[in-house]
Amino acid sequence: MHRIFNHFQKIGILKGLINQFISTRFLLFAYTFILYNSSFITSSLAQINLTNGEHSLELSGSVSSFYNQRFYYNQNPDNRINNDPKLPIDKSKNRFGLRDMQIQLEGRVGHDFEYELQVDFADMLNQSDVGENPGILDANFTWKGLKALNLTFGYQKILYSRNSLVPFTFSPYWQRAEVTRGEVFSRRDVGLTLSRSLWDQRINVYAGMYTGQGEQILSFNGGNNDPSGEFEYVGRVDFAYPTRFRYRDYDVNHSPVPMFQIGAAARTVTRMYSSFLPGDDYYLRVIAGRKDCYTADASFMWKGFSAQVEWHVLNIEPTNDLDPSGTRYRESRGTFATKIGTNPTKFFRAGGILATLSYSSKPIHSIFSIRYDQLNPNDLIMKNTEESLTFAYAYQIRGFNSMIKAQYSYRLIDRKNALIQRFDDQLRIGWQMLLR
Amino acid sequence: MKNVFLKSIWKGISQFSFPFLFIVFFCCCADAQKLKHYWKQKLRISEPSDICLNQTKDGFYIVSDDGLLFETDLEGKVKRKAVFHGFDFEGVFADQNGVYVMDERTRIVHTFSLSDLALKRSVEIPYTGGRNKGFESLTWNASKNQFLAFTEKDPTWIFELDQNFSVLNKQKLKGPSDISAAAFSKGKLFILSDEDHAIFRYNPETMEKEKKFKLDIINPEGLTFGPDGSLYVVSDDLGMLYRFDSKPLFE
Repeated sequence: MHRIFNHFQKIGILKGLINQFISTRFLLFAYTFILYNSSFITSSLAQINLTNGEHSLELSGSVSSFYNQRFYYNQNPDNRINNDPKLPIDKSKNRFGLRDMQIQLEGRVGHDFEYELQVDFADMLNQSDVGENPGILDANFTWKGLKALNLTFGYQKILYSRNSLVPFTFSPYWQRAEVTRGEVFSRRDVGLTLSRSLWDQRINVYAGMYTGQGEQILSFNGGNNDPSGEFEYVGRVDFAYPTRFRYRDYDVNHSPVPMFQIGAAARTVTRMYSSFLPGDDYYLRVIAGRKDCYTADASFMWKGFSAQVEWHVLNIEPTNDLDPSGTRYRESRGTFATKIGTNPTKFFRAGGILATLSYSSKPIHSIFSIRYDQLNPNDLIMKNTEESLTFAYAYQIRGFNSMIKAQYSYRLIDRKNALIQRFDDQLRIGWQMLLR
Repeated sequence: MKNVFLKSIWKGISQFSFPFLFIVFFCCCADAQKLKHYWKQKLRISEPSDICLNQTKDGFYIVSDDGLLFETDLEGKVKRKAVFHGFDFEGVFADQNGVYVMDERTRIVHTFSLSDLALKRSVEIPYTGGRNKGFESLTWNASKNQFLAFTEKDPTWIFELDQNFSVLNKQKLKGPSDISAAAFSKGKLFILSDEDHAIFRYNPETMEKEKKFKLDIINPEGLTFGPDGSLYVVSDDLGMLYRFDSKPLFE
């Protein structure tokens, strides 16, 4: 323990924490939590269901709020106000945040018809990060009348990455892994999904056709498709044993037998001209050109332990119509040595992996989790792979319905590499309340 | 480069994870007697959600998440099926007057005739809790001449009902994380919890928990006692019927 304490002292985390914890901001933070506690902890949080015997409508929602503390790497000029090394460190990321303010309506009519409407009011006002937090989360309906196939039509989650399919509220983390949080590929779109389950839902097969514009279809370009008129096509298959495996990452129920799931998916889209937001950080979410994505995943649960591994690769062939020099994909990377126009290859690759190991303890109502997370947004550029270890802890007051969550992101990278986007450690702690 | 990478990973793991894992293992503990099944049978019923002994004691009634009612023999082989198709059947109980089935989604108790499993009557029990957190079980408390209906979770309510399914009283149940099924035997109330993978024994007079028994099966959704007193449990996900020695339940 002494060694660990020394290490914390050396890297300044403990000192920083103490300073912050005795500050006015922390007192405000603590006070906010006490208010949360007193008003919600004793109440029942079940959602409301209305039914007329044929049509049942369920109303649910969620609220979550957090405090974010970033431990800045002082030598980086990007951390200074206006990127000016002479100015003080820009601490604008040390803040309270409202992550979720969601309302969800789910309905079932008869045996064959279901619908889902979900809105996040907190994100509707913040359009800077539509990939991870779009304002509209679901607006779709499903028809099961064909029996052999289910059809889901409307704005929906794309059945591609398993990690993306796990509802965020069932997680001790405050952020998804970099590769799956919506910057590298879109997580939602408008379109049609066909699905089929086999062998008591152990095997699931999905195929979908979408606009290819991702979340931006609702907010940019007037809802129009790309001038090419092309669509995005997505397919996924997964297999579970010995029984069906829901898209959940934590074994809170302590499965008495080992459970496994493996899955694979692919998607392809061709854009002629991307005149809309391509993503905040990596310019990868929607690109002008052809983009093929592949993923494979594996999950395991047993007696409270769980593990997931997910691998992603993107093969991207830009048209460069907007950017003949190819600088669009490296404008923030600081190098011009490997422009696409002069490189023998017409494509570049991006991708990453995430691996999570977790334990859920019922006696102490807790989830412990560690996640390794890697992303390389462009393989034509050397040394720009981002890596982090994230530690998460959740104390479940009432299961996932009322849960205190804390995560600490520890960056496993060369902090002097100017190509890296994220190298500051970050602590985020807060509370989520689900009305469900 | 590779060494630097591996070293940085090891540094992170060694200095953060070991204390983390130490706490985790310290908190692990076992707290209940474990029951092991000695017989099992795959059912030809998709997603079975509850089970009860029939009135002639030579078979079971089993309901499914698809809204179907079946009668089987004691080995789980389907003998007949009700024509009526509900939405999400989660509880079943039978006596000399009929078979009573609880539809979780619509909050309706359906009564079927014993002779041909025809629908005789449907009564709604109003409850506004979550669609999938509604009534999970229906059983009969002989000592009070009342039906008991249990909601699944958030919260777990016990509704006391008269023979016309009018609500007489309701109370919260403490103990299980959720409720999948309930049945009486030898004056004790046994409650099955899917999330806890366990059966809880209650004193029906005081509704106090007496003992907990862990199960070795996935997604247990229904329980009943056979004509010889054996414990039967159905697994929803696996579509399986399990038999257990019930003696430990009464010790």
